[in-house]
Amino acid sequence: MRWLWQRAAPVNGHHRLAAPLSTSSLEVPHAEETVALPRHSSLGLRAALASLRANGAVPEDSSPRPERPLVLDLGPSVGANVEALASRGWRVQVSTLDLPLGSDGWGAEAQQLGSLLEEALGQPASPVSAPTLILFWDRVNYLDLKRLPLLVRALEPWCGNPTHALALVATHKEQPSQPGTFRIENEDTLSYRWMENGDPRIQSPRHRPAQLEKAMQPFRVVASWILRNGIQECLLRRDL
Amino acid sequence: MWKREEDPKPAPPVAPPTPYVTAPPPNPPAVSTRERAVLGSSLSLKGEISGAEDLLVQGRIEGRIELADHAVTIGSSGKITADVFAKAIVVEGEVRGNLFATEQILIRKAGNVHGNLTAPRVVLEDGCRFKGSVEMESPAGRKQQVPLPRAEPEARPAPPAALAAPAPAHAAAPAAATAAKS
Repeated sequence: MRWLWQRAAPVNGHHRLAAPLSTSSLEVPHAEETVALPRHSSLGLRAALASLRANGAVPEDSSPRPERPLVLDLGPSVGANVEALASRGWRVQVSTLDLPLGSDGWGAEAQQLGSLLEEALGQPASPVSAPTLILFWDRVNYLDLKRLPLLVRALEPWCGNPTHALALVATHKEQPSQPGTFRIENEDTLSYRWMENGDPRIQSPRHRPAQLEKAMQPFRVVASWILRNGIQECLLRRDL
Repeated sequence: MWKREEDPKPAPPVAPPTPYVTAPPPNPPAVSTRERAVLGSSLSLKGEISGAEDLLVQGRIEGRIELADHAVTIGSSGKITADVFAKAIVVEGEVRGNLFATEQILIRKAGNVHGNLTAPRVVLEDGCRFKGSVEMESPAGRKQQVPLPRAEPEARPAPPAALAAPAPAHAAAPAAATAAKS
C-alpha cells in the first residue's frame, strides 16, 4: 500500500505525523513510520469549530449526553480527529461513507439511501443524535449535483438546529479517484492524503458554491475559502 | 579593629563513590504479575463473562464481558459480539458492540469496531476500522484539557472568498468564490 501525495504543492510545506500518545496503563506503540503529509491552514476548520463552540459551547461535566454537541464525521476514522474533537467533551460519530459513492447504486433511490445511511450511521435517526457539525470532507466531490440532494435528504433526520457542515470542494480539473483522509493537526491545520489504487485521477466535478448550495439545500454556504492546493473549503449552515 | 572573619572550614572530603548496585525492585509492576485468562482461538462462548483478572480473547464471544477493574484484549483472531465493561480495552480483532472503559480504549491498526466507545481516553490507531460514536467521559480529564494548539500562520491560503460571513482578519481581500475559479 502506498500513499499518494497530492499533486499540487502544499501551501504550507510538510508536516510530520506525531507519534501516538502513551498512557501509564497501556503501552501505545509509536508510529511505525514517519510520513510527511501535505497540509494547509484551514480557515474552514477553524470556523467550523467556532460554530460548535458558539452553538454548543464547551459542555459542562454534568451536561447530559443529548445536550452535548455532536460531530458527525463522514470520513474514515482518524484517531487524531477523534482525539481533537471528543476531548472537548463533544460527541463524535464516525460514520465513514464507504458506500459506492460514484456508482448508480448510491443515487438510485432516496429511500434505499436512507436505510443505507442508517446502516452506515449505526443507529436510526433521532433528536438525540442530531449533529451540530457534519464533516463531509471531500465526499461532495464524489457525488454529482443530482446525487448530492439525496445525500442531504437522507441526512436531514439527523440534523439539529442549527447544523453546520464542512465540505472540501475540489477546484482542479482532476482529482484522486477515491476520497482522501483528512487529519486535524490543530485548530487551524489539516493534513491530508489519498491512496493510490491504480486508477489515479478522475475528472473533478468542481462544484461552484452556488451549485453546491442549491444541491445541498436547506444548507446554505455561509463562507468559503479557495486554497492554492486545489481545495475550496466551504462552511455550510442549516437552520430549521 | 575589625575582627577578621575566620577562614571557612574546609569542606569534608567527598566519600569515594560507591559502586552502583542494582537491586530488584521490591514490588514489580502489577501488570507483569497479573493473571490473564485466555480464550483460545478455537473456542466460542455465548453468555456473560465476569471476574477479577485480565482477559485475552482470541476466540469468539457473544454476550457480555464485565471485568470492571481489569483489562480486556480482543486479540487479532478474536471476534466478539458483545458489550464490554472493563478498566482498559484493547482491540486488535473484530468487535460489534459497545465498549465502556474506566481508563482507556485502544483500537489498534488491525482492529475493527462497530459500536460506541465510552472512556476517559480513546485512541484510534491509523488504519483501524471504526464506525460508531466516541465519548470521552471523564469530568476530571475534561477539566485538565488544554486548548488545541494554534498553528502559526506559515502561509496564507489563496485569496479567500466569503459569500456571506466576514472574512477572517488575516485573509486577503474578499472576492467572489465563483469568480476565482477558472
